[in-house]
Amino acid sequence: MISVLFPGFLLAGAGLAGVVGALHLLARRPPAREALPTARFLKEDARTLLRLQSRPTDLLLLMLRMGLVLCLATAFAGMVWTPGRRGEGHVILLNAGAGSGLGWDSAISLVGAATAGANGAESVVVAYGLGGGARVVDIASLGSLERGTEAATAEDGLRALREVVLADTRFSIVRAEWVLVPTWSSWNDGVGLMRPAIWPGRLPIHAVPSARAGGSAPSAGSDPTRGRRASVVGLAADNLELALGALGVPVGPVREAPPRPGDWVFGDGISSTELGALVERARSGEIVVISGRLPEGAAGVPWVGDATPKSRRQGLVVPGEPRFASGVESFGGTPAEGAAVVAVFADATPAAASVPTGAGCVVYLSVSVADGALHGSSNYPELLRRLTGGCSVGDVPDAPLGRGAIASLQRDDLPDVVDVAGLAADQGVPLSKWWVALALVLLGGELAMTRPRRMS
Amino acid sequence: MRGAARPTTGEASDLLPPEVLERLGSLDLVAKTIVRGFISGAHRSPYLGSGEDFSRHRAYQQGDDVRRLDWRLFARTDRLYVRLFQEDSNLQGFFVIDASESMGFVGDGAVSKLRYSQFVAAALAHVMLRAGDAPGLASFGAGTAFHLPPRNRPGHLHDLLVGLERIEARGAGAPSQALDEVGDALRRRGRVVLISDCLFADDGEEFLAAVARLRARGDEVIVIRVASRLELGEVEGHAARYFDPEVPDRVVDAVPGKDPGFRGRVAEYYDRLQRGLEEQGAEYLPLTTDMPLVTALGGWLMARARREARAS
Repeated sequence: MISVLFPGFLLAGAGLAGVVGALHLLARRPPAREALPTARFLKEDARTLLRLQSRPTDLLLLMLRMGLVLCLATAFAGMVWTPGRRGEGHVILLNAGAGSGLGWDSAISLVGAATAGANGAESVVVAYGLGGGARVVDIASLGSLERGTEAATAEDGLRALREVVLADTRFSIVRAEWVLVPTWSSWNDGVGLMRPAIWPGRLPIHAVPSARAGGSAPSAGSDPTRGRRASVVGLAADNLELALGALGVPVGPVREAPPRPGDWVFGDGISSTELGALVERARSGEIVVISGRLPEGAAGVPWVGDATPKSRRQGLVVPGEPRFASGVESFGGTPAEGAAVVAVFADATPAAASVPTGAGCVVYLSVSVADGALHGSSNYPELLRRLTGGCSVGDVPDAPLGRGAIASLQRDDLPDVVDVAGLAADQGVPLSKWWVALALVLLGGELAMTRPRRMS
Repeated sequence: MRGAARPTTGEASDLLPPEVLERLGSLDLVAKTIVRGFISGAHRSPYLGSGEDFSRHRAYQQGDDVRRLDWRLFARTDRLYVRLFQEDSNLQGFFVIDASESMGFVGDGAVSKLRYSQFVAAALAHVMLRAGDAPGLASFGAGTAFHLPPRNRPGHLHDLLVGLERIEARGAGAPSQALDEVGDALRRRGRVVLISDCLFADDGEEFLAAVARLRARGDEVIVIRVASRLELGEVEGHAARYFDPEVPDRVVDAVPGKDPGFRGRVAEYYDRLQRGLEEQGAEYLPLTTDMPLVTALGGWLMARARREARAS
């Protein structure tokens, strides 16, 4: 496979070659004036002279010069030929955080299955959620890998992709895919909406059937969205179902812990007294969901700033539902320090945040509610049920996104096309020197052809 | 050139191309190198006359000089014989070199037409002097120039070669005036050797008239035409704006290689000139600047010697 490290040089070279061609045509030499004592016997033939004047040596010279420019541009573009590795490698993102304990052994097995199924191409495992951050790990030593002490999130996986895989010059990142299962369609949607904040580049999302989604799991070779294509597959032990679905492996039932009735309290506005009581309930082990305008100097809630109605926003997105409202009135403010974002608006602005409080948890939803129903949604109870998932990391499809992490990920210096397959560029053959050699040959030809003109 | 000139055969000097001769440097060395190629043995005039060396007897004929009667032989045989002697060749001649601008043309050859002409003149002067003739040197270009009168004395060859070296291609002179002046300079019948590219402005009409006048005087006229194959159309020329060096203002946009009639038109011109010269009884020798001089001149001299021997 041929890959180009700096394609801009190719464009620049093509432009320069065009300029050379234009100059060549503009600077056409006038016919040479030569002495010939028998000139009087010649027949005037200006047309043939004009026709022959620009033929064929001049055309050859033009081609030589344009070829020379293109060769140099191609040499600078850093062309690399990777024999026999055409997009068959995988970069496997492996969640090695504390929450991966449940399915760790299965995950290692899946990694083995994925690498064995890569048709001999090299696969790389990037483990994230480790104590020291994400890094490329040896597949053979996965069994003895010391996992992190804190739960890792999807955000960590994406960050690993960006900061480890992209920073590693061995990988040529050409494409990324994030594979999700359809039973979590709302979460899929959520990821899709939040994704621009997490990953500014292109990130197609594919729903992959799994056993839990109904029906048998597809085989590794039948799913066009995965397998041999050059792609990054998110493999998270926390989200075992997701990982298995990505790899086409049947999975068993996933544990869920639906919120208990009465675990939440909400209202359009709340007083300081009410707020204190609710926080106290949270400390005693309840999950408390608060919505509406907060009192001045509110403490114990995962939200700070001006919580007065600000503007209407599009698409409140929470794990568990596709979209709760097409348009909602939002309050201002931002998630507090240490709080986890558990819902966002369509523009990736945080909409809800949670913070552990004592044995329980407090969730704040920055959306105006009235009469026990979210405006524009008939499924407000379900919204609340999903919001409570933000307090129970082990039971949600993925861990909530930290506000700080979102900020750190909101960068625009990433390539437009981002996710990928593991292609070891350092094992490819650099072609630059050959292009330089060809350019030298062309230069020699050009000098040889123009020598008579220079001499004259 | 009344010598018994014979080209040697199979010698390396036969193959010396003009560019090699050019590297030899001085015309003296060039002339000797060429002449060595086609002269061998004694060089003696085939003409019998009033020289010192006895040749043979011949029966007396009316009109013979009685002073040449061999009275001793008459006493022995009672018949009248005259004694014949090897004639002392003292023919006066002129090399007339075309030094017009066009003679500086090099073309596809290694040397210019003028340089080639200098080689030819040097070699023939060598031969003439060895034969006892007295060659002189004149040229025409920017005007007619007399460089040396016809002489045959030690050192004359050197002077003649120096004179040849000094000739430069300039101007666009007419040969007729030069030939007339040369004819006037010859005190008695002589030989005029014109070396030129024969590209004359009036298609050679005045030139032929001048040759006719020389022939009417009884002078021998030899015209050696020197040309490059490029200007003869025998080598394909490329596309260019061509001009005659002697008429630089007249430019012809042409492609000689794509002009099939070019070669024919040049050949027709020279054929017409040759016919005109032959009608006048002049000798015409066409040469091209890529021809080895030994071969070109040697063959011509040998054929000429045979012709003269038959005539005598």
